[in-house]
Amino acid sequence: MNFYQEHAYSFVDSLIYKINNLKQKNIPEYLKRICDKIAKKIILNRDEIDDDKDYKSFRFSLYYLNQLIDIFSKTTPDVSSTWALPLIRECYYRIGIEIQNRNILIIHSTDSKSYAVHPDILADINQDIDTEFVIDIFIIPSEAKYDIASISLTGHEVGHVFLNSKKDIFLEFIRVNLSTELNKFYTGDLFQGVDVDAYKKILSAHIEEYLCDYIGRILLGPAFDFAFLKLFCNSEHETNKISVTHPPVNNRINYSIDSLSDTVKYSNGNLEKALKELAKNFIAVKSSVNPFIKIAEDIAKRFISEHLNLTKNLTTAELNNIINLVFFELDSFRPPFETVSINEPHLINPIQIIIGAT
Amino acid sequence: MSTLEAKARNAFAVNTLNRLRHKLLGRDSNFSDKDAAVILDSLEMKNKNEADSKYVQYSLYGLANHDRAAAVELHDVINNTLSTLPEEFDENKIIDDLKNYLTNKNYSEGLLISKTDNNHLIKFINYLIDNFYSLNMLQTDLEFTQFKGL
Repeated sequence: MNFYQEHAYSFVDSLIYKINNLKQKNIPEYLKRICDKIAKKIILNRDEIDDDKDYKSFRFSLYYLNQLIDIFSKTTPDVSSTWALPLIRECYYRIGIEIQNRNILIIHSTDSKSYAVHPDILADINQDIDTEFVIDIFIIPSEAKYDIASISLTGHEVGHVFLNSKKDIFLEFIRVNLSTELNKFYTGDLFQGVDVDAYKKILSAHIEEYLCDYIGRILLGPAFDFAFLKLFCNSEHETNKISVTHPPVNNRINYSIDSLSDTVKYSNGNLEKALKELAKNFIAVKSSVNPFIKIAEDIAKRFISEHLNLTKNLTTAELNNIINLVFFELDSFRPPFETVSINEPHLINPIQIIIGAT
Repeated sequence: MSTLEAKARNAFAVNTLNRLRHKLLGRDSNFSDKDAAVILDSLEMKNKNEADSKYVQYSLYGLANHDRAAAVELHDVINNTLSTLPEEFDENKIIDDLKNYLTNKNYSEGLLISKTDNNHLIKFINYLIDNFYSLNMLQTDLEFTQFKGL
């Protein structure tokens, strides 16, 4: 054993210890198999270290794997929410994400302030450890325990998984469309001197976020918009900042208000009254009219019409049907997966539960 | 981009360089066409217009193919290293040598460049790996930046 292998021992041993601890937990078999493969791989790589450069590149791999194992350790497959997992699965099914060999792990986080997802977390190591599994990790903040309506925001995260599963089509689409749209600016005098290239990266991220909002809205209807508006109730509407990763909050808020107005227009009066109350918070909200933001919105809309089959909003009749199914079950202090009455029970699926309960 | 994704890209980039180093040293190495493509991508990014669409695609959170996206990380470190190379290196020549070596697939047919060029390339790769290490591994994780460290 050489000096560098000796040095690597402590790092490897600490990771193996973590992996063994994780395997002691009540985790699914496929995760245990992945852990075994990772452990074997790092021991093999440690034994191949010859010099300082090998050692350094090995440390990089270890650094990454260490975080991956930490993330797996935070997941709670044995106590996963009765609500979240079936809801995410139904969203996958409805949007057309292939669920064979696709596994969902959930982190019920007390640290995270918001919902998040890491689609296909094993994509980085698949070629090294030869696994056929795809794992998506969802982070659900602890507020979901007390406010079930907020869980609709997972619809947006499912959007990220969907785009990840169609990434070749999506990336090619925005590459072509973004170049075409931005090239129009190059020819005019208006934007001369503006570093348009710098906008490409930002706008690509914005398009992705708009699409995910749209997917969440289509999957969970008014429940998504309600949770979304509630999330942004206390954000700074006046500033209308353009972030590097997300579109302006104001534009997203207005899309949600429009969508919610459309849905409740024809439903019973209580919903309309509730929406008016909610909308009072957003009176001062004005969408950004930045032409680059408009480009991102237009490209997102084009992608929706050309590549998404799921483009129909809930009809009023469907919405009323859902509310009638769920309404009487809300006091039962249990997840209402079926109606209980003197009549034959009707199954209620997770999306209906969330929409009805919201 | 998540910290996990950044770490994965860095690990892939450094391991690619290390496989190339082994190849240049004449050791057993499974340096592949895919590895060569990543390094070539990163070298092409010197030309902003050519690289722009790739750069944008590889920069997107959760969507890029991480192995190819490693080219973005490699590109940054190559630029950083070139600006600090000792005088014995001719910046343009070392990049041209590396491009030629990878484009002509010399790696698959054994050593076809001069011994001096070969040694220069190895030295350059060593600089790159060292630079990667000092730029990324000797920093504290973002979540602990509020702590007082070493």
